[in-house]
Amino acid sequence: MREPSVSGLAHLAALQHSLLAIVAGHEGDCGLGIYRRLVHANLLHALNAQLPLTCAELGPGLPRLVSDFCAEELPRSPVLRDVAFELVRWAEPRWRADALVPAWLGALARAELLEFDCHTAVREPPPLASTTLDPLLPVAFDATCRLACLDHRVLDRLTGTLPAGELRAEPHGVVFHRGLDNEVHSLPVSATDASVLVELLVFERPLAEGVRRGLAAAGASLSEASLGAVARTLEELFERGILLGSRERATTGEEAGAPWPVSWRDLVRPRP
Amino acid sequence: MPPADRSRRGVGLGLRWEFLEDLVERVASGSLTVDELPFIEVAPENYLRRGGYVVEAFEFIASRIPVLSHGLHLSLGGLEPFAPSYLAELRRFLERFDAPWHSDHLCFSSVDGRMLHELLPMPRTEDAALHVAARIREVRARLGRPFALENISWYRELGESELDEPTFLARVLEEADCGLLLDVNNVQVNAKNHGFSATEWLARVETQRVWQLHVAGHEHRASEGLFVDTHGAPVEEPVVDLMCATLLATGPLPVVLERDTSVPSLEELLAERSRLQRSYDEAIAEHARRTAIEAPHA
Repeated sequence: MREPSVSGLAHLAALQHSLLAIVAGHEGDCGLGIYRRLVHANLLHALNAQLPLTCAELGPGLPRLVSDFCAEELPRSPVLRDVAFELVRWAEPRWRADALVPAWLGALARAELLEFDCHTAVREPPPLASTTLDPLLPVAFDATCRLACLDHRVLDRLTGTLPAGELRAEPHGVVFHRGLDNEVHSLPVSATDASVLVELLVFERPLAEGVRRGLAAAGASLSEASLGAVARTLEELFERGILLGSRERATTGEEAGAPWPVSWRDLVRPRP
Repeated sequence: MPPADRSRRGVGLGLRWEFLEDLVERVASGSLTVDELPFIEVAPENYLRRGGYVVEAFEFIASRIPVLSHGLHLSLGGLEPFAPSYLAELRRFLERFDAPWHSDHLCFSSVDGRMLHELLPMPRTEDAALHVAARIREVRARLGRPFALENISWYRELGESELDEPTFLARVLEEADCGLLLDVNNVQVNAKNHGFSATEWLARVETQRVWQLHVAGHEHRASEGLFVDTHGAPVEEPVVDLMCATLLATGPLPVVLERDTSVPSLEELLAERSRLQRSYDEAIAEHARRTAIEAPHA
């Protein structure tokens, strides 16, 4: 079988790089500008499907945002539904620095995406060591569970309670979970509980270590009151079928699969 | 010749979430069977690493209606190695749903780890053809099943072309020894945009390699001064004629009606499918008649 020449492949690479530069807006059209417009249109379509509320807030600023994203970053995941994750991760620090962007926009975008990710999560049961909690083992959560650490009450916008206007600043968390009927439910939790859940759900720390770290990160003491509050939250999660017991171990690399460029875990907290 | 598979013939639909619920209801109630919808076509990337309603609905439909697999992400003309995890997951998907082959596009869509999420044209050079062919051979080996390549709509040429499109396509198919997913809407779009005869283009296709057809709608974008392959309109008559002309030469094949944007109701799509099926049946009947006439002379 014949193979392409080295010079031929080099020429191909050069042409592909030139089209990449045009799509990114780094070079003039050279008659190929339609491809930049098609790429932008595809990304806009995906964003509007997954982030309808955020895109509505951005309004006429959305095409410029996509254009800037393409100029600075461009998607890395081959999966189109990951583009929204990549863009929000890239955009959130910029939104915080932009006085013209609502302070709560990043939180809204992360919450929208985490709710979406909950809708589409693969429901694979974790390896359960026990249906009770062992302080020395990681906690087993339902595979559809997602956590958002938020600084504004964006859930009111997601649920339609407050379809427009400013959203109140209030650090807290929201746990998203998908029932067996494929409906996604949300449970607001305190900022302290969210801090603990980050350690248990995102970092999969053993229970006792996760509670200790989470309380410390939230500036809370290891008091009876703090521990009692955490225990009540974990009990509620257990009653809702979100918390299942103790895992045998943290997720292995093989179980996690080859990583996509952005995971839902990257959106749990605002990007610094 | 296409792989021996008679379970997917006639006109099927590209599966879209806009009518997923309606389709599940009809299949579940028995009001829609393979007689009305012989098969569906899906993009595996929309179901890999995914759970929830959409996947459950697809799995239910796939338990009653045969599936064809058509991907978007291989970037066959790209220069980066294929992601092993993606190919492994894709292979499992194809096995699970018994897809007779997998197909993807004659294009590139990634450069240096950046995904452009669009079907970008290959420069029509000998080396580019050999490169794509080598990639197809690799994909086929790793997927463990046959592979079909789709011709794309292209709006501008990339670089200086050594070969015209039919020659470039033929070179790739020959070197890869793979099938052709002939998108006759793309042929029509390219013919309109670049001023050649779609019929003459088709006459240069090696019909033995055609395993499957795509038909779709396209639209004129005044801002671009081009016809664009939007999959957002009904199939126009000249495209139906191209479909029939191909079927006259090939005999029975699966034909997929694609509708990706401005998706109408399932009722409307099934009506369009039925109209296409009537044209399909007439073409196949004529193919059979001609074949029977020629047979005594063979």
